[in-house]
This record gives sequence, C-alpha cells and structure tokens, in this order.
Amino acid sequence: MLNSIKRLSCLLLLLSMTSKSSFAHHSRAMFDFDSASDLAGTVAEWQFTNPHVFIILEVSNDDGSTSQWTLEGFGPNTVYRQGWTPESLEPGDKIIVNVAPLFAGGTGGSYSNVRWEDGSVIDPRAPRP
Amino acid sequence: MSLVFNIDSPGTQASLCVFFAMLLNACAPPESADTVSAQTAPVMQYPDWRGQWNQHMQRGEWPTNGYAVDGPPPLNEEYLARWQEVHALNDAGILPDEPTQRCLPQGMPRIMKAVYPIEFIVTPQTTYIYAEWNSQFRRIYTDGRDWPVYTLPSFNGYSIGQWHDEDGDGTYDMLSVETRHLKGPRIYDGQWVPFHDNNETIILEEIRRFDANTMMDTVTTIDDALTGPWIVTQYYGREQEVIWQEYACAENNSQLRLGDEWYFINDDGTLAPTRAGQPGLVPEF
Repeated sequence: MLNSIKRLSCLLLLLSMTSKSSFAHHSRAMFDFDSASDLAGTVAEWQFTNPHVFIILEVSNDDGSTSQWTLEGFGPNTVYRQGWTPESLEPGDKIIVNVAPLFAGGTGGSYSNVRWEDGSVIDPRAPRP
Repeated sequence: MSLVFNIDSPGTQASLCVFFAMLLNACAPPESADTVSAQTAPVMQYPDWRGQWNQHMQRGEWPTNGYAVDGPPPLNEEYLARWQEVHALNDAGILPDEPTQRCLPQGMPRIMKAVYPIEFIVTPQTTYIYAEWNSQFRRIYTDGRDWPVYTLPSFNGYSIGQWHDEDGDGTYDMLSVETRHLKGPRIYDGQWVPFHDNNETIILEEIRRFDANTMMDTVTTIDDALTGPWIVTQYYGREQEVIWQEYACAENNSQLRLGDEWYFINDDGTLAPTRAGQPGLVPEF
C-alpha cells in the first residue's frame, strides 16, 4: 500500500513538471510563459553576453511615458548557432518580441520570436541596408 | 713460455671480436618475460574521438529520454520527499536553488549531459573532456596511477580511467572511468534532482564511440540518496558545423540569489522581485 502511494506521488510529480522548467541550464522558471504576449518597442541595447543575451527595449506606454524592459534570451552559445550575432540588432531598431513577464510583474521578462515592427521575420545575419 | 699476441694479425683480431662479443653477452641481463613481451606486444592505438559532440536528446533532464519516458529518479524515501518539496516550492512560485544559476559548475555527472558541446582530447597519460559550458575541462588520468591519499574535492571530482580494446583489433575503443572526491552543491539536472548531502558520490563511466557520428557515455551513479546504482546512457551527436565559443557565466548574469530568494537584475542595476510577496530587498542605509 505504502509503495503504491509512493509510486503515485512520484507519478503526480512527474506530470506536474512543465516544459518551461525542463531545460533549465540557467533557470527560466521565474518567467510566466502562460501569460506571454507581444511587446513592441525600440532597441536601446543588444547585449550579446553570457550566460544570456539581452534586449533592452524602450516601450511607449499608453499614457505617453516610456518604460525600459530588460528582456532575457537564450545563451549566446545557443543563439549564435541559430545565426544571431552581436551585429544582428542595433540601438534604434524597431521590433516586436513575445515576452513572458516576471511572475512578480515589473519590466523584466524572457523574450522570443523577434520580428521587425512590420511583423516580418528577422534574418539575423542579413547585411544592414 | 710467453704468450705473445700479434694484434695486427687478422686471425687475432677475429678471435678478439668473438671473445668480447661473448663477454658482452655474458654480462647482459637475461631476457625476462616482460622484455620478451615488450618486444613482441603490439603497440596499441588510441581511438579517434576528435570532433565537437552535442547532446541531441532530452537536454534538460538527466535520464536519456527524460523522466516521462525513462521513469523517475531512484531516490530513497528521504530524498524523494526533498525532491517533492522542491517542486512544491517551485509550483508556489518560490524558485529553488539552481547552482548553475549562480554560475557554479555543473559538476559530475551533469557536465556529461553536454547541454553545450563537449570535446574529447585523448593523450596516452590523460584524456581531457572539454565542456563549452563554463569553458572547463575534466581530466581522466590513464597513466596507471592509484588514488591519491588526499585530494581536494571538486565539482568534477578526481577521475582515473583505463583503456580497453573490446574487439581486439589493436585499437582501444572503450574508456572506463571512476570518479571520486566530489563536492557540492550539485544536482543532476534542471529538475533539481538532489545528491546526498555527504557528497560521497562515486561515478563509473564507459565511454565509447557508438558510430561514426555518435559518442556515448554509460554513466553509473552511486550515491547515498539513491536506492541503488542509477545507470543512464548519454548520447552525443557529431556537430557538422564546428563552432567553439567562450562561456563566461558571470559576464552578465541577471539572476541573483540572496539567502533563499532569487531576484532579477534589471539593466539599470535595480533588483526586481521574482514572485509576489517576496521579502524586501537590500535595506536602505
């Protein structure tokens, strides 16, 4: 009986594990991926650093003010192999990103799906016009 | 009667040569079995394990195919309860400690998950395993040494290995390894599976090349938090486009642990909470 309970509790534990925390080489468990949404703004800084790349994004708020978002991506070792380089983004670039915000709120989060402001896909190694 | 040698005589010279040759032969040490075997034994070749090897399978969980497929970790009752408690905290929004988030090394055996690429550098005395994650090396000594009387514990431990020629073709093809003298904190993977607090883990490995484009490492973990040895095989695929990158974790780490709490470092240097109701941050002076 006790062994059955242990096996059941272990199974329930396994089922409760979500994919967002599975690949936590450097945990992304502080971000609410269930509440992810698009955010448009202007790149203030593109930080191609370990252990994560960052987009610092200036976002205009409805009241006319601006906020600076600190958006964490994957590690440069990963994104470089996907084509991203320190030159892929520049200050002034207008982009849209999908952001999973911090659970506690605030202007921090995890980003994905970076696009130009018109929604087109960014070729990270395309030469600048 | 006196003996007079005519040194200029060819016959005398020949006789002297024979004499000295016999004298040298008599002084030479007898041929031992080792000498004979050294002279006749084949020179073993070391395998070609060159390349960049990357984990292509379940990268976030220690078992080969992940827990959902391979089953839960064989933790004993006490450590299973700890693991469940950690997940309960996480579900409540209280993030558990993850040593790599603090830029600590993954340690053994987690480093052999190869979340980032690894490289095998084989020399007769030592095989080095380079891991791009944290740009670090493991050393596996194959020079026949014994365990040190004392050594400082480390995250990757102290490893002694032995080469094997499993198919008898004159080329070593398997490296068996034993690793001891580990220290913590270590966890197996991103699911926070714990080791025993005593850090007396022993890890056994059999490293082989599975095929031309696949390496494998069968890892047996012996730890007091387990109900028995935990055997997991990791497979690594050969990267066709080889790019080696530096990894300096502390360069721009945005995740800060204060006590039992994680905070997020905003780009402007301020700290943001990671959950509602988190204790106050650094007090003002």
